[in-house]
Amino acid sequence: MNIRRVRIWMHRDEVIDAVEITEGKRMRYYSYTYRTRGKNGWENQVRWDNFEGQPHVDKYDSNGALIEQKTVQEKSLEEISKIVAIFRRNLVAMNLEEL
Amino acid sequence: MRIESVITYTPEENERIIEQFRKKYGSLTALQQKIAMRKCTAPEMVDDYMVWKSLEKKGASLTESHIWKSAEVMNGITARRMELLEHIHRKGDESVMAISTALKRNYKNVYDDLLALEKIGMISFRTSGRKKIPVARASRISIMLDE
Repeated sequence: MNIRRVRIWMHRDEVIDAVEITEGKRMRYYSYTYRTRGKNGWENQVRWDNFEGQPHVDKYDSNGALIEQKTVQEKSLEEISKIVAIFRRNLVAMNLEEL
Repeated sequence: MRIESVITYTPEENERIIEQFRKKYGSLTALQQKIAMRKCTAPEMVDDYMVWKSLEKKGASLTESHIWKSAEVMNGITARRMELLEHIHRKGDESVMAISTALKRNYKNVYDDLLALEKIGMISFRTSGRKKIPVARASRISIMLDE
């Protein structure tokens, strides 16, 4: 079982926090959370994960409350990294199922 | 450009991480119950649960990386801070005062440098009683110019 935790700094105040758990070549679990630094520390904006085998994306408001959850296809960290690099803070207002 | 720092934890360090989870949540079952109630409003708990559960398995290995996509991070790196990072990585488990003494540097300057390294994710602090112990979050730093 290999556990990999990654923080990608997109900007001084924007990161992607990733957790990937693999067994052999199989990805057992992933979560990729786009966070921005706010007055209360790091605040979740958008999160993709496959907890309980259900790939989905969540959006959060500035208080950390879940505002939307949609089912999406599985994503890789590379894909998420590209998506975040392009759209950054606009992600919260976008239809993420389409990406 | 891409700058990456990587730390691979030893089995002893994995145990220490499990112990921290135990202090924070009680038990794996207790955490599982918390997640069942509020998994979407506390996604960090889901990550902690999955990491903890996996770490309990025999032969589990944990690595942690920080990746910077821009050269901006270099602003936070100076020769003195690299010396500090190297010292923390080599010696481990020393207080800020002990580090200042060993490097023959002013306490406040060392502390300020540690805060700067913490801000860019190269160290973190753990508490031991009333002391803050800096912990290196990198055992290797690579700079890739072709990415």
